[in-house]
Amino acid sequence: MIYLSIPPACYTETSWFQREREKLFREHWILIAMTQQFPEENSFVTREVGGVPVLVQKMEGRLRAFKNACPHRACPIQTEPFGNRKLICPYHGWNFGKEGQLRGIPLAEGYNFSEADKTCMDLQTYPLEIVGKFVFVNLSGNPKPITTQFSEDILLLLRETSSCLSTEFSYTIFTGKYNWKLNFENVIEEQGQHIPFVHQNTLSSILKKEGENVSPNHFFCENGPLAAIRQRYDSGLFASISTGDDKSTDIQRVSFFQRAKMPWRKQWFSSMMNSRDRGWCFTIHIFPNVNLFSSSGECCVLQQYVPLAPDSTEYHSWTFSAPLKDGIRPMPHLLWGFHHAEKRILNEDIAIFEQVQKVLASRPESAGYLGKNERSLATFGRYYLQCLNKEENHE
Amino acid sequence: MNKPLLVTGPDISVRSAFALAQEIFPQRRIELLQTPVEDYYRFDLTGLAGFSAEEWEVAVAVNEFFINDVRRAFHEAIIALGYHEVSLISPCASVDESVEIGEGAILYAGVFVGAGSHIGHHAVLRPNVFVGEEVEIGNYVTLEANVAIRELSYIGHFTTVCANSSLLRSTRVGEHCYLNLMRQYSGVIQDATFYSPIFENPIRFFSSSKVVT
Repeated sequence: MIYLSIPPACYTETSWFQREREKLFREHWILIAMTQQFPEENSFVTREVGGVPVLVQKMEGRLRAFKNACPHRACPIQTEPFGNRKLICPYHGWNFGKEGQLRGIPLAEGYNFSEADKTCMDLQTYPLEIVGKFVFVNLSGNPKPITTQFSEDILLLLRETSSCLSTEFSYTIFTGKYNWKLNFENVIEEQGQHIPFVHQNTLSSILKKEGENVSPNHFFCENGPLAAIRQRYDSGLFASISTGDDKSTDIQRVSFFQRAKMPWRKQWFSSMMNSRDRGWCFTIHIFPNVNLFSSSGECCVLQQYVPLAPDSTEYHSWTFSAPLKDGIRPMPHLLWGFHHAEKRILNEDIAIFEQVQKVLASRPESAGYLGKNERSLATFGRYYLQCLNKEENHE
Repeated sequence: MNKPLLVTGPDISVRSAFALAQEIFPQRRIELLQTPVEDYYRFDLTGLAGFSAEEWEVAVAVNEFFINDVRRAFHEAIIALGYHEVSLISPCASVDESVEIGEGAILYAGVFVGAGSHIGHHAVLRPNVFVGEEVEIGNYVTLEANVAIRELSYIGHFTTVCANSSLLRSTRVGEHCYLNLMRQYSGVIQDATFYSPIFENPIRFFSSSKVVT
């Protein structure tokens, strides 16, 4: 059976790239940061979402999202990717209040603005939602509620899994010469079909190792917060998949959850942390471009695939451990070790993506044929095309 | 008369330290003990039973595993047993008489340390490291071979600088950094920053509490 697939042009052409920016990234809830990135008053994060510079800043204990552009001369208010600084434009010193309202202009008499002039000089604000520790923004002028985009299962998972992430995290960014969708499609394979081939000596060998017997964990256990989700979706390796129930709409089906058994062996750091999911791995795919992966609850990686161009992806990578036990010092070396391990595996994927990208650029008739075990890719492709308003059925 | 010296540590770097100790103290009784270890941090120190803390001094050598955190853990375990630790400074090192060096530091052959500098405790300066004048090197720092730290620079505790790298004048490197790219560093590098050959940008570590030193 051949399922719906995204045409090759969507991976290579600028016109599709521009539509993605407008229809996907500016009209959906997009992950922009984690709450741990805002430890203090005036902590901020800057990102680009759909080509729009966005600033999230903590003020009076609350996170707010703004367009990161001064209304005066379009200079970014914050110029670093993250940091701690008041809401002051570095160019001419215009400064803004917690709601983005223009508060002061140095040397104001020279500008001679009237009060009426100043009414259009506030920072543009955007809606922001926090789910557990995950911070989302929506650039749409009329955003749909976040509960429309994500099912109750996904929102519950994000809230509950937030408690299994350490306060400490490490973060970096790197780029690859491939379309961002290849990354998302790769991680939403229902049975991880590429793993034995692409990750033969890394991830695949880890999955084949013998594990220790693990007593039932507290995270998904009988009376645990995610018991219902476990009972619905537990089965073999990556055979468990939640694409929502019959009532779920396509937009909710494209974010989903997988959980599988994974051999657990005690590591040097295991006794230092409170893991809740030993012997299992799970992954939460957050449409359109985020994946959270947990290995035994001890190592968690959050990945985001940000399109820079049709053939260029900016990869944002966070790593977490399980919350550390009382008295255990923060361990940057542990999280850097996780980052190294993740990058080693990812480099194997990127090598494939970059080759696939070259083939797609040669304009093959189809980007591929999907089998029954690739329903998730078909759902993703169908919703993607719906969004971009150019649905094409290849069946 | 000097007490006999035990050179000990949980990894094979103890062998180089042992050879250095023999050069420094040719007339002294020196023994080598590589202690068994599991999971980096679980040291088996039963072998120390034959070397009483009253009779022996100890030189500790630990590689830079986990950004020198294992060195801290081993040192704390040794101190808890009552041992007094000594530094090992090669007779082939050139150290200005004004330089302060913390206990348990190791300076290999060819190291140069300029006037007014300070070397923290349990820092390891591998062969041919150059440290200019008025430089502050933190505790548990590792400077690998041929590293050059120009004058007035600062390196925070636990940081490692990889071989053949250099720091420009007045560079400030935070604590718990791992500068594992061979290059010239300058300016200010924040605490817990990790440069690695497999990442195009440094990895930053974030914690709501300061990384404990």
